[in-house]
Amino acid sequence: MFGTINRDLTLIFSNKSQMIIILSIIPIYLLVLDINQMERMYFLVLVMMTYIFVMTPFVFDMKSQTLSMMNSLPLRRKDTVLYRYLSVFIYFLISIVYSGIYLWVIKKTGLMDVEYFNLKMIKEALPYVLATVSIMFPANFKFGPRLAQILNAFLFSFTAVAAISLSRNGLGSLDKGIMGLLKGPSLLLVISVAYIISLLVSMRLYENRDL
Amino acid sequence: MNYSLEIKNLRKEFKGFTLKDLNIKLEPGFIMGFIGPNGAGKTTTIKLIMNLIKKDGGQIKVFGKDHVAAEKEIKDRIGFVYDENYYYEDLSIRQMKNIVSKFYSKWDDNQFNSYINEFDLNPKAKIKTLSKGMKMKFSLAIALSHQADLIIMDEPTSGLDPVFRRGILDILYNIIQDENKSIFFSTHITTDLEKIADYITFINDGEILFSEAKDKILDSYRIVKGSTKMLEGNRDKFIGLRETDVGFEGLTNNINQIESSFNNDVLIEKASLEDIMVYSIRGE
Repeated sequence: MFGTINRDLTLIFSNKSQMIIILSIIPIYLLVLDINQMERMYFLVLVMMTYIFVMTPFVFDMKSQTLSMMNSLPLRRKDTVLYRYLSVFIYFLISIVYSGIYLWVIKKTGLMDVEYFNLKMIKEALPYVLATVSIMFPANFKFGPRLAQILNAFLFSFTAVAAISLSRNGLGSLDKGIMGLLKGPSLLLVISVAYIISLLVSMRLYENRDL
Repeated sequence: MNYSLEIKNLRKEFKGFTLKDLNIKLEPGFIMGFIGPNGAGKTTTIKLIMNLIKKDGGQIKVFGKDHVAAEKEIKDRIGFVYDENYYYEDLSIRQMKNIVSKFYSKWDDNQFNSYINEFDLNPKAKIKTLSKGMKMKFSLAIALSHQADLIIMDEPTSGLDPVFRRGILDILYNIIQDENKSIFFSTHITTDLEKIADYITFINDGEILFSEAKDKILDSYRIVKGSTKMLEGNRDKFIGLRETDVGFEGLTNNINQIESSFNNDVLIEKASLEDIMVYSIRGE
């Protein structure tokens, strides 16, 4: 687990362009969103930061074709998948800390009046992140770089649009229709089950994949 | 006996290519050269050993243990050198080392630094800036820095200049002085193997043609040279033949039969591994 996290963090902070992307996420949202949406910005930042942390190692593996190398290391494929799913919680936590510090600096310097910690938003963002990852991971563990890249582009766009939509309307918008049934504890339960199923599917897919 | 590597009836099917019932045994303390033309199945076999692709049949044991059931334990004792660069190009040598080293239980930083110095590599250099030879040196340094008992190398010398190739062979020769270590070394540059290999396994079109001690192989085969007209009625005595306007050249592993058939009218020379490989493929 430590080796996998170490690898991911090394890749995430490996070069200047990577750092610029991470550093520019919050300013971009501050510029794009109008002042009325600020209260939901925290939700958006958490979702997108976690997404970037989670997906960066996959992108590096696609770019450098390093799957053979990683799989020649003393690590079972089942463990690779398990660590990847567990690491989402660590990246979510890092996103909370990172955005907390970043937004706190913005608030303290008087640049903008923004929230830097919001427990309600954290509770809303986590199921959203887990739901997105439950779809993305099996696709990335199953398919080769080219197909996975197309799927990632599609899922990234979908995540961004859906997250912005939710940030505008709040999770209260889920009250309408069938989704209303899944609000509250039911939503978390359903997403947790989906996450575990996704983990088992990814393990099966990755263990049987020829690299 | 506990072999470093034992492959029994290994089978893998692809569309248009099948690896057919491979059998290989490598004892500790020896170097096995794995030769064959491009597309013969060398990389596929190595990928199967490393469990990078799934076998369709047969058994692979490394250090006496099943390569899937004991995958983690086995890979901790294998140093793997790739035919291409599979490292993160945007990272520096030091960053890449820091990633890889965390996975091995016996990683030795001093050993790694010693190889880096010996190979004249700059730890701050980005992998994408390294030449093919330097990337191979880095790959070797990684493979040799965690006290691996089995080194598996897929075409490590291809595309490298003779001086550097000789350097790699010297390193391998030094490793093998420890009688617990073994090397499985795929290549199509057979002259490298003539220098250091103890055993040769020859694969062609997914099938093993032979897997024996190098000296025995070199003793068994001969190149026969003579005039073309002498071939009449004798073609089937050769494994492979090459005919020109001035005569023929053929490979045989039945020296007595050739001597009795041609008496002293032909020239008989020792065959190199390259001769054996080329004529065996041609003759099929």
